Amino acid sequence: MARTETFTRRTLALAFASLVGTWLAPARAAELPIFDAHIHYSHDAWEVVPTADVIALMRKAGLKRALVSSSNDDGTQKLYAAAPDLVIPSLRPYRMRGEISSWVRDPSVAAHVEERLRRYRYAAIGEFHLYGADADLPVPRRLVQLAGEHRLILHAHSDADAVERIFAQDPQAKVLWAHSGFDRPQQVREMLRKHRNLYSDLAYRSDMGAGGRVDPDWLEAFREFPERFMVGTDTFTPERLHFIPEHANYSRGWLAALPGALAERIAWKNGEDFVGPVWDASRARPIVQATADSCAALRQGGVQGERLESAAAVVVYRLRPAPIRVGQPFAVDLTACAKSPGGELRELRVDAQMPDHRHGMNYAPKIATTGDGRYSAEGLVFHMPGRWQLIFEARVDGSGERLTTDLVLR
Amino acid sequence: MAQAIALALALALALAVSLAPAAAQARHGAPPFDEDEVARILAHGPWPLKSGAPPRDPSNRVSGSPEAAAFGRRLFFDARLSANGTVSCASCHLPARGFTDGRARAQGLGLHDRNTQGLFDVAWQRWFGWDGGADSLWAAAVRPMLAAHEMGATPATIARVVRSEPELAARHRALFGTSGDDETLMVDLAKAIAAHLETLVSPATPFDAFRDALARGDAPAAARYPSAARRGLKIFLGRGNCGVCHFGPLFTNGEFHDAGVPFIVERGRVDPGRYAGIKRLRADPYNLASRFNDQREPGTGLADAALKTRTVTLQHRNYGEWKVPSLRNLRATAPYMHDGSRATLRDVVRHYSELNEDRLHADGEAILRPLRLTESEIDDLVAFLESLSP
Repeated sequence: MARTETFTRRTLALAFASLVGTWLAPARAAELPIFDAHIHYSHDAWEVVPTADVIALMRKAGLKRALVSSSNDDGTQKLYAAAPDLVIPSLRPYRMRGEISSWVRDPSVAAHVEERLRRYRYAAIGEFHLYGADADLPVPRRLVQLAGEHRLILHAHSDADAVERIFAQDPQAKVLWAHSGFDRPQQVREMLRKHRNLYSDLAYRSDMGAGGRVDPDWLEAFREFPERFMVGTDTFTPERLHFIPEHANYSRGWLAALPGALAERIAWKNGEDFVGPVWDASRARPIVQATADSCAALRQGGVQGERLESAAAVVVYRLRPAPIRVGQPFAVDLTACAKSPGGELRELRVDAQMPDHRHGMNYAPKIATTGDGRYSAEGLVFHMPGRWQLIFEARVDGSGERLTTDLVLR
Repeated sequence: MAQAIALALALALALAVSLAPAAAQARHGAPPFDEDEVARILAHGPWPLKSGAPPRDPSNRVSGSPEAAAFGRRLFFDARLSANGTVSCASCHLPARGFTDGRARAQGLGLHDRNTQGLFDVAWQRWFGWDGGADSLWAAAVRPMLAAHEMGATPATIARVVRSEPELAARHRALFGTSGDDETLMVDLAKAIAAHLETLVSPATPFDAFRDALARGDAPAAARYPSAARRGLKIFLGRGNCGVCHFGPLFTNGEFHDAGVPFIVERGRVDPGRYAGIKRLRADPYNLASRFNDQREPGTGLADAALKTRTVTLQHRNYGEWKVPSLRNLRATAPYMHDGSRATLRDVVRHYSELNEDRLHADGEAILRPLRLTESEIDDLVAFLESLSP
């Protein structure tokens, strides 16, 4: 039964392809611009595929524009700075790859997103990975809320359940459904019928068709919702940046099986029509220059915690949990900045010593930053009672700064 | 506030004891404890901990389960798990000897380089083994099963025993469901054994009675603590600085130090202690970074059981460091030190009294100094250590 159905479907597809193939001349197909809705330029790619090379690949591919998100967002900002005509930034909440599964329960992600939204302009928040009931956890809820406040698109790599929950939280949300949820066209159509603000990208799937053929089920979906689909490469590894031109040509191949107007819509017009206006409006909003930022607040004494100062740096820290106890792991949350507004704090190290014992800790804490001077050092353990010296080492411009404080444990 | 009152009461009592009539003082030879000492005495308790039940291990899904503990206890005594059916966990960890064996170096299928460690109060530890090569109690239970000189088994031989024995198979299935591969089954058994080990809590001691009496201001009860132990405690807290490492109610900070104990096993061969332990930990297929960790959705930061595994650093100074053992229940667990090289508690105290400073690195632990104790001070310190056993 299944075999017959597949056979029938394929036969139909081929028949249809040969019928429509004449509608779109190959020469015209080659010219078809592409709006690539799914580009990442993540940290592991920056060295092996430099920014200029990525832009060159995008231009070679004949991209009209691209929605770019990266782990971390610096990758997106690099590309945007190099080609503002080509790159539309989307804010990926991940500071590194590893956060794909942990971000939904990590409150610092929401803080990070808020911070970036203050400093940069975006068309979307995403692409993020969110499934089922996780969508109702506080951190994803906050992201939905922020997208609403900033009138941004949510680029969601999600199952239908999570998409439903996003719309339940905010019926006005605009969602770009990454990979169309990897659902079958029938299910995708059902979702598009239910949610008029739901759009779908076709990144990293091959079942729509290839080389002048289009799958009949997908064709029906495209005909029912000509304005809701767009294509995307999904450059989830550095190597895949080189696949952008290849993917554009692949897209032109199967789009050639569609009526010209429909092919144009999916190739680039839908992306331009959906993402373009959001981006234009977002970009038009001024970036409030940052007295609101945490370094400015720090300099003005507006950050709560224990304050340490050196010649060129200032640190305000809090211990978590406080007070700390011998042998119990703890974290240090801190804001560290250059003392003068013009200075730049480039490196930060958190360590501790027992000066009277000539040794330090047995652990090297992991430091994460949420950007804008805020850090968390996790995994410190003071394993003996006595006097400990908590040490912050920072590099401010050229100078090494050392800030210490004594903590006595009993 | 309540703590401050308790401290004040305890202090008043300690002074009262020390200011007792001259005759009583002379008879007891009881030294006064100052405010700081009283605070530190209180910090070595209460025992058992107020929190009661041992903490659950988030990396072990049967942690805290009485059924798992009962099954684990059964496995602990089962010699069929070893390569030739002659060695069980209990062969070296004899309950009657505080879960040690009385030997300098453990004897399994072969002779071990190290002394058998006691198993009381392991639920509160961060690292396991003299070198801390295991980051969970269940990983620590896997190692002796597989080590050639201990039980010499393999996941396959262990799985065969369980699968061929209906009672074991049924109890395993009831706790863990249908077993996966042999390796998973073996780790399941280790987790059940860990659930058993978690329940081994050392009993309250004369020291605890004294400490609690101080805490509640019960002078007659406090006066029952022997004078020699009281004098030993004074050295322990003061000149000895022992509580810096032998910290808190468990009398260990759970970490690793080089107290100048030699670690050449034999000519041409050393046992590098913690240094090897950290390397072993990192290479251990059963560490908390492995698929066997049951904490499927680790909390971030401090709630993540594997954070210690990822943040622990390997440093030169780890070479020859050993886990700081608890001082509870020592009467039952002679001989002492990682290699069993000290036969009695008196020998241990003498080690610290005559510490060989040449062995200590110039950048090493700066508080270690020979204590130069008199014979009667050694007696007192031993009396105090003995008061940490029931």
